[in-house]
Amino acid sequence: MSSSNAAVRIPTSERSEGAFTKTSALRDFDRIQLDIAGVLPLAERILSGATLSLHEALSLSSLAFPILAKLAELSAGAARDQIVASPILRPLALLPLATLLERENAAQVTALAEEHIAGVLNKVSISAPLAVTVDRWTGTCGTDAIVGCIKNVLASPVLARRITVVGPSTAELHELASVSSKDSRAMLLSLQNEILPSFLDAGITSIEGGDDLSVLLLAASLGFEIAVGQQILPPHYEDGGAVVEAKRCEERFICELYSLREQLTPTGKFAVWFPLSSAILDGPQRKKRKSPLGLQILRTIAIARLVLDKVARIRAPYSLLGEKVSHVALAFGANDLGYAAVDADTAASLGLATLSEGLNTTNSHRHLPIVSA
Amino acid sequence: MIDNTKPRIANVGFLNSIPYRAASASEWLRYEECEPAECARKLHEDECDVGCIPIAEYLAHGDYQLLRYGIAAIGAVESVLVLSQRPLPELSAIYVDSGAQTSAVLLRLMLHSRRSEFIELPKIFRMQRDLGLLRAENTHGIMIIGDSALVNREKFPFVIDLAAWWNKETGLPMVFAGWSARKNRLSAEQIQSLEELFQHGIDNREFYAREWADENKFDREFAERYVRESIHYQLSADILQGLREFAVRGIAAGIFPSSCLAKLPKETERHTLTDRNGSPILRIHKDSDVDSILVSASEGGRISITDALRLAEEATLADLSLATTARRGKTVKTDDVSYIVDRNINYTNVCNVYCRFCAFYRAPGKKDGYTLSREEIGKKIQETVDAGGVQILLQGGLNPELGIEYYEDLFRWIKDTYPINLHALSADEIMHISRVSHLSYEEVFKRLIAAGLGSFPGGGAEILVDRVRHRIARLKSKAGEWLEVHRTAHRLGLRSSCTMMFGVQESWEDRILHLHKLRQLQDETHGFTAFICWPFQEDNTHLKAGDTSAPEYLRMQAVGRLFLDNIPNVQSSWVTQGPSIGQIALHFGANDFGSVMFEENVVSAAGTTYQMTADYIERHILESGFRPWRRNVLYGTAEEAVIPPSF
Repeated sequence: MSSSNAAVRIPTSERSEGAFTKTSALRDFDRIQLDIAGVLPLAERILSGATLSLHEALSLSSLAFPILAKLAELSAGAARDQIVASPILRPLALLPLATLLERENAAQVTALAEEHIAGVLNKVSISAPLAVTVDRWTGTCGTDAIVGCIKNVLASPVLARRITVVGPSTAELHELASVSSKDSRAMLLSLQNEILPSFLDAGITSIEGGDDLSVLLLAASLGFEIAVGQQILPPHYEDGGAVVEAKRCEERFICELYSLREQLTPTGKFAVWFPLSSAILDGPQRKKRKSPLGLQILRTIAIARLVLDKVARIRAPYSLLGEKVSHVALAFGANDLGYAAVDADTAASLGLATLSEGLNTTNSHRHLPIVSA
Repeated sequence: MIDNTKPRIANVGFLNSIPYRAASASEWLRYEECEPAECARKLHEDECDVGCIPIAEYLAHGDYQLLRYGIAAIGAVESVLVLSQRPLPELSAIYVDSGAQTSAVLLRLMLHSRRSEFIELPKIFRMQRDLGLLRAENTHGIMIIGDSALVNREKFPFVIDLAAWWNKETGLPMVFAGWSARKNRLSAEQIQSLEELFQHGIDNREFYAREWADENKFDREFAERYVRESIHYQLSADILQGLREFAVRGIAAGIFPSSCLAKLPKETERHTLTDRNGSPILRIHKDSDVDSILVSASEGGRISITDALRLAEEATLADLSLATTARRGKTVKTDDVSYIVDRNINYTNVCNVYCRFCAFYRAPGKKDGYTLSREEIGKKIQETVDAGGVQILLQGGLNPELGIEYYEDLFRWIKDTYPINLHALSADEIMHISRVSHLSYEEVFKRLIAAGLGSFPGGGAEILVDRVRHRIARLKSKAGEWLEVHRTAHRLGLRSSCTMMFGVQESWEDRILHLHKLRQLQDETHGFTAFICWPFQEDNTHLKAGDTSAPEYLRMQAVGRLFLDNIPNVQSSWVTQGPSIGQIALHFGANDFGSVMFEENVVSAAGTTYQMTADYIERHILESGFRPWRRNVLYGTAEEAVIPPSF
C-alpha cells in the first residue's frame, strides 16, 4: 500500500459513485419522475436547502426506493457546500492498553504503546492521523490508568498529531459509570463530573457510537464530537406476536432519527451518523430473521441523509455492512465508509476488513475519492 | 509489414460497391472488403476506422460521422430481392440473407405496411444465404442481397425488388449503406482525400465494373449498366430524404432509437410520418444528453449504442434506478417479482476449452475430472422434485467423450422418470456435440428436443465481442457462432435466456455492443425470455478482474434493462452478488430473483458461495415492496408444464 493511497485524496475518476455533483435545478427527467411520485414540491424544498419537518420526514417511508434514492442524491448534492462530499475510509489500529496494563506498569505500557503505534505507522506509511482504538475501557488496572496512558501516548513527541483516539460508545460510558452507581441520575453525574472530563483532559474528543440521547447530549455539551450509531430493526414480531411491518419500522426509525436531530444538532457536535444492525449483512453469522436486509439499510442511509441535512457524515460502515452494500450506499447519501484495519492484528481482533482491502475495493474501481483522516 | 498508423477502411465486397475499390490503390490507407454486416461489426468493434456499413447499423449506433457517400437506389436496385416460387401473400416464411441488415429492416417495415394483404405475415428467419437458397421452395421465400441476388433472380418466378417497393410506397430513394467513420479517427483532410478517392472511383465506375465482371465471369454489359443506373453513390440531400423517412418508420416500429434523427444531416429535416390530423406521430428527442436519453428510455423508447454508452458513463445510480423502474413497469407487471425452484447439475467438469476465467473445468485425463453417473444425476433430480423444484439446469464442460447419443439417452431417461423441465446445455455444448457427432446445429437441436430438451440456457455468452473472447477463452465459440446457435434454437421454437459475464477488462463499448447483438437477434426471433448479467469471479482463475464492484453490477444490469427493450425479463444475480445486492437489483430493472439453487459448482469454484432458500428469497422480494411468485422457465406459473416444441 502506498502512502498516497492511504493519506491523500485519490484523483477523482471520470465517474464517481460517491461524489455528488452540486445540483441547482431539476432536470426534465427528475421532474417527470418526481412529479409522478407526487414529491416534486418536496424535491424543490430539498434543493433549496430546507430542513425537513417531521411530517415531511415521515412521508419518506411511503416512497419507493428509486424516488427516495433520487431525493437523497439531490440532498447530498444540494448540501455539498455545507458538508464534506468526498467519501472517506479511516485507517484504524488496535492498541491493547488494558491487556498491557494488566502485565506491565504504566510507564512501560506507555513506551510499548508508543513503540507499537510508531511501528504500525512506519509500516503503512500513513501521513494523515491514524485512528487508534483501545481493546477495552475497563479492566483490573482501572479506567484511570487506561486514560492516563492515552494521555501520555497522545503527548508523545513521536506520535504528536499523527494519531487520534477513538472515544467510547455510549454503551461503554454507561458501563464505566455503572461501576460507581446503578442509578441513572448518579451515573450521569459521574459521567459529567469525572469520567468525561478525564477523557477530554487526556485528549479524547469523540464519542463513537450508541444512541443514548442523554449521554450524547451530555458529551456534546462538554465539547465531544458525536458519532451516533442508531439501531435498525427489520420487520419483526413483537413480544405480543404482532407483526411490525416494514413501513411501521421505518416510521419508528424516522421518529427516533428526527428526535436525535432536533436535540443534537443545536449542540453543533453531531458529526457522524451510522446504522447499526444485529448481524453482518450476507456474512456467515447473519441471523436470517433478525437482521435488516440490504435494501432496508440503503433506505435508512438515504433517509438519514435527507433528515440530517446538517450532519457532515453519513456513514455506511464497511466493516458492518460489507463491501458491496457500503460501496453502493455511497451513491445514496453515505459519504463515509467507517474504519478499516491498518494491520492484520487489528483486523483479526476487531473483525474489520483491512485498509488495503478497503482501498482495493474502492480505488481499484476508480470510483471513489478517498481521504483518510 | 503492416503499418498500424494507416487508417483502416472496410468496403463491401459486392459489385454495387465496386467503385469504392478505388481507395484500395491508395498507399495511406489499409483497405479490405467484406460483407455489409461484417463491415459494421468491424467498425463497431474498432477493427476499422471507416466502413461502408448498413445504414441500419449507422442509425442504431448514433455517433458515427456519415460521409457523403454510400449505396442508394431511386427505384429498383436489382440486388435486394425477395425471391420465391409463390406470390408473396402465400409465403409462410422468408429466409433473410444473414449478411443483410438494412434490407432485413426494410423487409420488416414493408411487410408490416402491407399486412392487410396477408392472412398471416410470413415468419422471417435469418440464415446463411446458401442454406436459405436451398430452402426457398413452396411457401418459403428468400430475401437475398448483393451479387447473389443478381445471379439468382432468374431462378425464381416471383421477384420483388425491395427498393422499388419502397419507392412505390414512399416516392423516396432508399439508402442501403453509408460510409461511416469513427469519431476523431480521420482528420478533415483525410476525410476529404478519402471522398476524393471515392469520387474518382464513381467517375470511373464502369471501368471497375468491367474489371469485376472479368474477375467473376459475369456479364460485362450488365455490370456496367448496373453501377451506372441502378446504384446512386452520392448521399445528396434528395437521397437523404429517403434515409430520414426510413429512420422515422424504423423508430415508429421500435427498431431504431429516436435520437438517431438528431444525427442525420440537417438538410433532411422534413418530417413525413404524421397521424390523420397531420400531427407528428413520434416524439423526437432532439439531443442526446443524459436527461433526454433517460426520458426516452423510461418512456419505453429505443436507445442507441451511443445513448447507452452515455448512460453508462454519466447517469447516476439514482437516475438508473428511476429509469429502469419506469421502464420495467412498461414491460412486466410492476408489483411482481418471480423466482424459480430448480437445481443446477453440472454433469461433467471435463472440458477441453481451457477458459482463463473458469475455475471449474478439468482437462481431459486429469484425475479429478468427473462425469456423473445416471444414479448420481437421478438422486439430485429426485431431491429437487421432492423440494418442489420444476426444472433441472443441466450444464457441463465440453467433454470429448460425449456425443449426441449420450445426451439423447440421458434426456429420454430423465423425462421418462421425472416430471421436470430440462433446461439444458449451452451454445458451446451444442457446437461441441455438432462437431463430435458431425451434425448441423439444427439436427442436434431437433434430436435433443425429441429426447426431451425443453428450453435452452444462455450461458457462455461472456462478452460477445471476438477481441475480448479471444483474450479470455481462445478456444471458445466466436460471438457470431454463439448467436447462430441461439438463432437456430429460436427458429425451432425453443426459448432461451441470454447472459453477459462482464468485468474481464472489457470496455463499456464492448458491453453495449454485446447488448446490441442480443437486441438485434431478439428483434429477429423474439426467442429470448430473459437477460442475466453478472461480474466475473476471479478466485482460482487465470484472469485478472476489471471492475466487478456492486455499483458496477447494478449499473450494468440497469443499462441492460434500458437497452434491451425487447427482452421482457431481467434476472438479478444473487448467486454472485449475495442476497442484499440481489435484492437491491430489483430496483435496477430486475423483475426476477433467479433460482433457489440447491447446488451450484461453477461460481462457487471461483470463490463465491451464497445460499438462499425459497422462504429467504420471498422475504427479500416482499421487503422490497414486491409480490413473490414461483415461475417456470417460460415465466408462466410453476404449475404450468413446459412443453418442448414440435416440428
